[in-house]
Amino acid sequence: MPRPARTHRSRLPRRVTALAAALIAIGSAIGCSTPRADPRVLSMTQRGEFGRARSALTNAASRDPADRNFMLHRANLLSLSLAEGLPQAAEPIADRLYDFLRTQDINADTGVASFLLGEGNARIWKGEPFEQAYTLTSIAILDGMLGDWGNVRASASSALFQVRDFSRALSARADGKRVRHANPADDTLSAREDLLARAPSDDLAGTFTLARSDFELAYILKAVAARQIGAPDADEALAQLVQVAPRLQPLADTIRAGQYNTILVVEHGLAPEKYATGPDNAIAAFRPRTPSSDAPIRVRLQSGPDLALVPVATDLNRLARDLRWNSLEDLRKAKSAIGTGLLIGGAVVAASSDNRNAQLVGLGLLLAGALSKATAAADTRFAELLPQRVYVAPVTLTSPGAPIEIQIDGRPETRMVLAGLAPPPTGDLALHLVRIPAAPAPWATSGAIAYSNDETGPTAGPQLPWILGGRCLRTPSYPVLASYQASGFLKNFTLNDLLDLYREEGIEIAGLSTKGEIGRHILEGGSWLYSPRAGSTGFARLFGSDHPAYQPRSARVRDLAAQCRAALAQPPRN
Amino acid sequence: MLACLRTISPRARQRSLRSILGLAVLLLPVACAPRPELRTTLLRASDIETFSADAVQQLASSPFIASRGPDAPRLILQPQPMRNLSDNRLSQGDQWAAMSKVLFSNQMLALLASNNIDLQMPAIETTRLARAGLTRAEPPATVPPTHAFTATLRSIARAEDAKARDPGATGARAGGRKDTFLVEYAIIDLASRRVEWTGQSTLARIAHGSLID
Repeated sequence: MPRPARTHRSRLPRRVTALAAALIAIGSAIGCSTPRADPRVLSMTQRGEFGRARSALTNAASRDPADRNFMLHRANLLSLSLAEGLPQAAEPIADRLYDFLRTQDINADTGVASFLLGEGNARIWKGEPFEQAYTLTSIAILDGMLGDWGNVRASASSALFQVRDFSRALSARADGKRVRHANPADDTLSAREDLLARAPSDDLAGTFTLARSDFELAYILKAVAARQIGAPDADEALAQLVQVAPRLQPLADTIRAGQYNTILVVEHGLAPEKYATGPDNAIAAFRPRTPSSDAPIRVRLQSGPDLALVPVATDLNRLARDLRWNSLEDLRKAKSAIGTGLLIGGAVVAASSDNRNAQLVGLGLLLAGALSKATAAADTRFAELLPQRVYVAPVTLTSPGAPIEIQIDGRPETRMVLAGLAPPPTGDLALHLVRIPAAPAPWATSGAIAYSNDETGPTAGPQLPWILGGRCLRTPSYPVLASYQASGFLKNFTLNDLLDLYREEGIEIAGLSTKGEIGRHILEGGSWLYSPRAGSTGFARLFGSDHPAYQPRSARVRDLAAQCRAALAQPPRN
Repeated sequence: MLACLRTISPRARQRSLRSILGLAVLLLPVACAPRPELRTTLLRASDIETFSADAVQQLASSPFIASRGPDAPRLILQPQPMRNLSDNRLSQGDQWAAMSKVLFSNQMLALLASNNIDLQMPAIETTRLARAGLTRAEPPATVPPTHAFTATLRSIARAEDAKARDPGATGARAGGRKDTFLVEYAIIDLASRRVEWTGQSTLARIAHGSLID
C-alpha cells in the first residue's frame, strides 16, 4: 500500500541534503587520494642516504605491474639506484621503464573511469612530458655508466620528442591584451587557466603547434654518445643545443673538440612539487622545492687546478613552469564546470518545487554535480625524487685515484670530494653520476677510502672480511680469498667456505643473490654486500668514513671473528 | 537513496530507469572503443628472431661458406654485441641475443663445424663471472680470433599519416610513428679488415597514439 505523498515531501529535502553531503565527502576522499612517497624517503634522499631510501621505497612499492603507480615507483627507484651508484642493479628497471615510456596511448582506455573516479584514481601514471623526458635521460645516464654509448644515444634521442607549443594560441586568443605577471610561475598558471578556459570542448588540439624540444640535457648526452660511436649526428645535436641554449656554447665547443675522457653528470636538489589549484583543484601546477639559480659548478683536482667550470645544463623548475612541458588535460576543467552547473541546477529544482518527481530530478542533478566536482581534482602524482638541476662536465682525468672536488659556485655546503675515480682506458669514455646531498655530511668531503671494495681494490693493511672484524667489503672470489690467506687469515678455507660465512649471516651478495632488488648495505645495518661505482655519492657515503663494527648473528662467525681479532691484536712477527 | 527509490511512483521509476539506460548507451561507444593494435614501435623478441633467421639463411647460402669446406684453413670467429645506431634502446640481453641466435642455432653450428670454423666468445662475460666468484678468471685464449662476427642496427623514424589510410581518423589516432629497422650482419677478417660476408634484414613497425599519454 503506497504511503501518503505528504510524507515524501517532508523527508525529501533532508535526504537530499544528507545524500549530497555524503557523496561530496566520499568524492572528496576519492579525489584526494594521491599517493606520495614516505616523507622519510624524501628526507633520506636529501641527506644522500640513497641506499636506505631505496630500501624503504622497494619495501613500499607495488609489485603488481597492473598497479597504476607501478611505473612511478620504478622511476623513483631508478633515480635512487643511479644516485647510489648501482647501474647494473637498475638495468632491469630501466629496460621496463623505457618500454613503458615509449608506448603510446597508455591511458587511452581510462577515459570513462577517469571521468567517474578522477584521474588520480584511474589513470596509469606516466608523468608530465618533462618528467618523461628526464626519466629517459636517466636511462641514458645508466647506459653511459655501463659504457653502452649506442643506447645512450638512443635513449637521449627518445627524450627529444616534439613538444606542444601553445605560444601562438595564447597570443592569438589574447589579442595582444595578455597581462604579464611579475612572477613567472604566476604567469604560467594564469596562461594555463586561460588556455583551459578557452580551449575547444573536445581537447586542446588545434591550439598548439608541434615544436622542437629544448631539453638541453638530452642534446648534450646525444652529442657525447654520437661522437663516441662515430654516428654522424653529433654536430647536429650540438648545433641544436646551442640554438635552444646559447649559454651552453662553451660546453658544446668542448664536446665537439673531444678533449676529455670522463663525463661527470652532477644532480642537485629536488624537482618541483606538483599540486592542485584553481576551481575544485582542477588545475595541476608545480612549485619549486629547491630554488633555481644560475650558479655554475666547479670541478677541480683536490688542491689542484680547475678541470671544468660549467653552467647549469637543465633546470627542472624551468621545465615545470613551461606550458610546452605539461600535458594540459582539460577534462578536469570541463568536469568542474559541469559539476557546478549541475549542483546549482539541482539545488534550484529541488528547493523550488513541491512536485515529488521534480525534487527527485533535482536530487539526481545535485548528486551528479557533487560527484563530478569531487572527482575533478587534478592528478598530483609526480616523480618526487628527480633532481632540481643537472650539470654536465667533460673532464680529462690522468691520475688514477686522485680525488676530484666538485662544488656549486658560492655554495660551500655543496662541496663533495670524489675518491677512487680512475681514467678510462685510452680511447674509452667513462660517465659518472654524482648527486650532491642537500645537507653537508662529513663523508661527502673526506676523500678517503676506508674499506677495501670491488671498485678500487684493497686498502693498505691486512685483508680480512668486515664481518670478521676486518675492513674488506669485496665480493668473495678466488683472488679476494687469496688476499685474506696472504694476510694470515682463513688459511684452510675454500671459496665456498667463505661464501657460506655470508650465507650463515643472512647476507645477500649483489651479483650472486637471486633475491631481486638490492637492499640496504651491511655497513648501514642492512643485509646486502655491494660496491657502488667509484665517484658516486653512494661510494663516498659507504666507504668514505668509518662505520660501527659488524655484530655477527651466527655462532660460527662470532667465534671466527673472535679468533681473527686476537690474531690482529698480536704484534707482527719479524 | 534506496528508500527514496522505493517511495517513488512507478512512472517516475520507469523514467529514472530510462535515463540510466540512456546514459549507459551514451557511454557504451566510449567504453567499447576499439583498441589500437600497436602502441609502440620498439623491437620485440620475435623481431630479433626474424633478423637472425634471415641472417642464418643468407650466411648458409653465401659464397663465403660455399668457398670453404672441412679442409679449409681453420677460422676462429668471435661475435661482438650488436652495435645499436638506431633511435631505439636495445637491452644488453637483446644485443647478445641478436648474435647468439644466429651462431648458436643447430643449423649454424653444424654448418660452421663442417667448414672448419670455430666459435670463441669474448672474455667480457667470463671476467664478470670471475669477479662475482662464480668461476676463475679465464686465461687469455691461446689462439686469437681470426674473424669478427658483427651486427649493426639502424633505424629511421617517420611520422605516419594515418589520415592518408583512414580519412576518419581524429585526435591521437590521427598521429602515428613508423620506425624502419635495418640490421646488417658482417664477418670481418681481423688481419686485413676485409668484409668477408654481409647479410641484411629490414622490418618496419607502426604505432598510433599520443606518446606523452
